[in-house]
Amino acid sequence: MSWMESLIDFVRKYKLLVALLVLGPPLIYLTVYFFAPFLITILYSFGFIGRRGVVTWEFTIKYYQQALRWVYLKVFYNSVVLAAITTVGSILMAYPVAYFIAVKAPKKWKNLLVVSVMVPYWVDFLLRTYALMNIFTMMKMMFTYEAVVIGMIYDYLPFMVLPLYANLEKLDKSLLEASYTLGASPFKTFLKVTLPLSKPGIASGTILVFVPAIGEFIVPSMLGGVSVTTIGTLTWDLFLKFHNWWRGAALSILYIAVVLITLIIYMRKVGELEI
Amino acid sequence: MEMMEKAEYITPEVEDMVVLRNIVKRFGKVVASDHVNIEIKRNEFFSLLGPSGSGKTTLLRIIAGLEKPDEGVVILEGKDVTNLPPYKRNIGMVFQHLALFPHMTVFENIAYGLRLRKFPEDEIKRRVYDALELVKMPPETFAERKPSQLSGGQQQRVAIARALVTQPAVLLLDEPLGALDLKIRQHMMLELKRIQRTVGTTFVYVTHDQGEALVMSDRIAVIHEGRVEQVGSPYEVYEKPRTKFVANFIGEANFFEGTLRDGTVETSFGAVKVATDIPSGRRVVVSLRPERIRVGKAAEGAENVFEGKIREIVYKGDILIVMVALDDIEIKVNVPATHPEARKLREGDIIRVGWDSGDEAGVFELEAE
Amino acid sequence: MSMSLRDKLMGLYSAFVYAFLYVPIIIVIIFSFNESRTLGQFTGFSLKWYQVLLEDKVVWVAFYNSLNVAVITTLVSLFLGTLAAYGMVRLDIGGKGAVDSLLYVPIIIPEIAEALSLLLFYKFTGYELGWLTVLLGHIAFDISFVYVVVRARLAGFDRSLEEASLTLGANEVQTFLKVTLPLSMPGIIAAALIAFTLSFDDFIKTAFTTGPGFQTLPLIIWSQSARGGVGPELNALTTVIMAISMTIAYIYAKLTMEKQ
Ligand SMILES: Nc1ncnc2c1ncn2[C@@H]1O[C@H](COP(=O)(O)OP(=O)(O)OP(=O)(O)O)[C@@H](O)[C@H]1O
Ligand SMILES: [Mg+2]
Repeated sequence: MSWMESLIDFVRKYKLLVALLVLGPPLIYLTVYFFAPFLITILYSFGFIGRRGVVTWEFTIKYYQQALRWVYLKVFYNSVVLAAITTVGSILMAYPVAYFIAVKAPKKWKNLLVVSVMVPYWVDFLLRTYALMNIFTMMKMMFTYEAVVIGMIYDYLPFMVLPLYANLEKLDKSLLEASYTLGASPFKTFLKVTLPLSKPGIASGTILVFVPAIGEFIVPSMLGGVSVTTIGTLTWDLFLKFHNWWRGAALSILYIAVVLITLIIYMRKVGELEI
Repeated sequence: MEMMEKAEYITPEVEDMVVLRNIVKRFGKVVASDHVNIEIKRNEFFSLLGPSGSGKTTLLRIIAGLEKPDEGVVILEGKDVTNLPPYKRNIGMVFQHLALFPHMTVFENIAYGLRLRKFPEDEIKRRVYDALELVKMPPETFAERKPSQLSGGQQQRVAIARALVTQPAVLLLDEPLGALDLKIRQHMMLELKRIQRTVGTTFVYVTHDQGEALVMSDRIAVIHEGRVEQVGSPYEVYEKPRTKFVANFIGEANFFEGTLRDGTVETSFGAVKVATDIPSGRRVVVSLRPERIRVGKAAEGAENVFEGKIREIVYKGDILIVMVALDDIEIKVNVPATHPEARKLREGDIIRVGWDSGDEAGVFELEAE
Repeated sequence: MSMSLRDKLMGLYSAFVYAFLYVPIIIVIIFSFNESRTLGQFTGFSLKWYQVLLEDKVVWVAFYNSLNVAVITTLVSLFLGTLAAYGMVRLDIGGKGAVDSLLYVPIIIPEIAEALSLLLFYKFTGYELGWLTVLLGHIAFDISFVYVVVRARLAGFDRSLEEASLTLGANEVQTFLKVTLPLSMPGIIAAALIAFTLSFDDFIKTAFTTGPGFQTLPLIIWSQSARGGVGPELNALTTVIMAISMTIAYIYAKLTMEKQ
């Protein structure tokens, strides 16, 4: 027991040292293998690092100018449009389902229904997109924009259902009854009570779908082939095909900036992210 | 109120189980304990009573060692324990939400403290079973259940058994009945009292419910904004409140103000004779319990007699609550249902009310602004 | 309770959405048992594509690699993430808000951006791409997920349970071992499951940070399905990986549902 007591004494006396010992390892790891790489990316994007990793200390914004060229801006635009279609599509598909599970479904079914949405959520996009390839090949739909849109909605759907469900589940059912007793029809009640109260859920789902969908690579690449270009496929090509790391780095930094700005606006307006 | 004692303390009599000397505890700007001095005797059922946020839990946690006072000394069984962690103090505690370990059975919960003290296994079993018997939970039925398989009242009993099984010098209870419904609560009150008498352990009981405190306690400390307003027996705090706060918080009371002259308070509705030592000329407030006021014939011959109009009558079964207007104030009178005139009272009637000097719960000086 | 027409329609719509989610997966499974190569025509039940998988050395090596990376990633990120969670919930120090935000960043940043920054980092610092670089990247990502899950569990449990233990005579270390740890176990297990699947079927980060000769199962699927190559061997392989992920997901769901 004495080693225990000396340990406890130690913790009491050297609070800061203990904090360092506990929080140090994870933070150091993340600093080296997560934050440092982003710093390196920024250095690349401004041309500080040249060919063969030589540090040149020559600052340039030409890679950003290249990344902001009209063709690239069009890719940005296309990506945002695709992400928007994906978001709207998944809201339309997810909302009735989430509402059904949360409000209408018999109690004993609830867990099964939620788990059934959760399970695909856990399978990587690569596999689920591959699963779609079977069908699209059969239907001769491969490499079309429609296939990409359906694939995007298919992959992102669980990310929309779960936050919506979490939100609607918390909805106090007696509010609906109150609305009925006040003379509102079920439809009116939905418009005036349920929908407004579920806004945070819709917002959470939108963030979880829209932000990563902008940069989606797997779906447009596998189902769209060369016919659909997004930030994701562009980044991939710049890096792994053309080895144009500098422009790729600049593009990626721009993309991250868009993501962070979207998130910050969201946090300001809506607050916490659910899930 | 007693004046603060000097920082040095004299080793207390052995019968003082818990002594708090000059305890001060701040949370940022909030002073949760403000120079608290309390002595709790051996075998006593002692309550800390006060409204929400008055600092009761803080005091209990300071006794337990879960919170360290900023100033002052905590003495348990004559030993200064101010700097000892909870597990080195000889205490048991029943938490407001019970804090039964959900991953352990009833048996394991109760055995927890004994196992830590390295009792032999057969001794542990004997003690756990005894503890369950003490709280009237047949061990055969309940020992192997998980806390989630018990009702609220049963969980309560297990929590008490767990805290008592190590035979602590003091048992600390933080509103343990708060979550129970009225019926079970009243039953558990008597149970707690019975258990306390059986084991003879000192109980320190935190509650904001004056009913609980009055029924169970040997003595009560009334806490208000971190300070001790009064320490006394239930009779004392009810009948002889030391401050206006105590008079108001415990039981019900009518209050009226006036200037004191020769044992008479000049109020807006007339002169009221009182029994007090406060010198003449001071502004005072008189507190008078509704059940001390007599009405109708019974009021005749009292030292203070007034007439007023009945504003409202509320029927409560055993009593009638009658609101009577005396000039600009309204007083509350409890009339027993058995009172001969009780059935004749009507709203709007003029009624006679009366009481003697000394019937008032207290006369308090108003602080000069 | 009888359902109105409106409710029935909603139920029907939901059934359609569930079908949308599951039909493609079921088709993959069905055609992994198809005797012939023809897509869209089930000519007879056969296990021969699984047989092919079993005899494929490349698949076995990739399977070993995936498993190896996933297990090590899980163990290391579990250790580091749990450490961070305990530290953040229990230590009484300033500046926690900032540290908390830092720990969330890897979850927010899109995977492809993270993957390419790792690649640039490895190139710059001269790492040889392969097993180690894949592993290091997976861990960095998983720490945050472990942190979030364990932290939520720790923050959600009643502090007075630990206090009760202290008043019953247990010191802080005993309390940690007998109360805190067992009670946060479901959170730690859940975190381990998440960490494992995230790593086991990860594609993008692995694709960016791997080197010649180090293949994982998702990389095989990617390279073979490129330009529309769908086939029964791939269906069989996808079925196997999905079965693993879905089983883990199911265990996870069971664990988290029970506590409610
Ligand atoms: N850990 C803490 N941090 C900050 N303030 C605290 C803390 N604990 C208590 N307080 C404050 O100290 C005061 C006394 O709190 P305490 O919990 O002792 O009251 P209480 O009498 O037990 O109230 P209740 O009946 O509501 O339980 C309150 O103002 C409370 O807000
Ligand atoms: Mg309290």
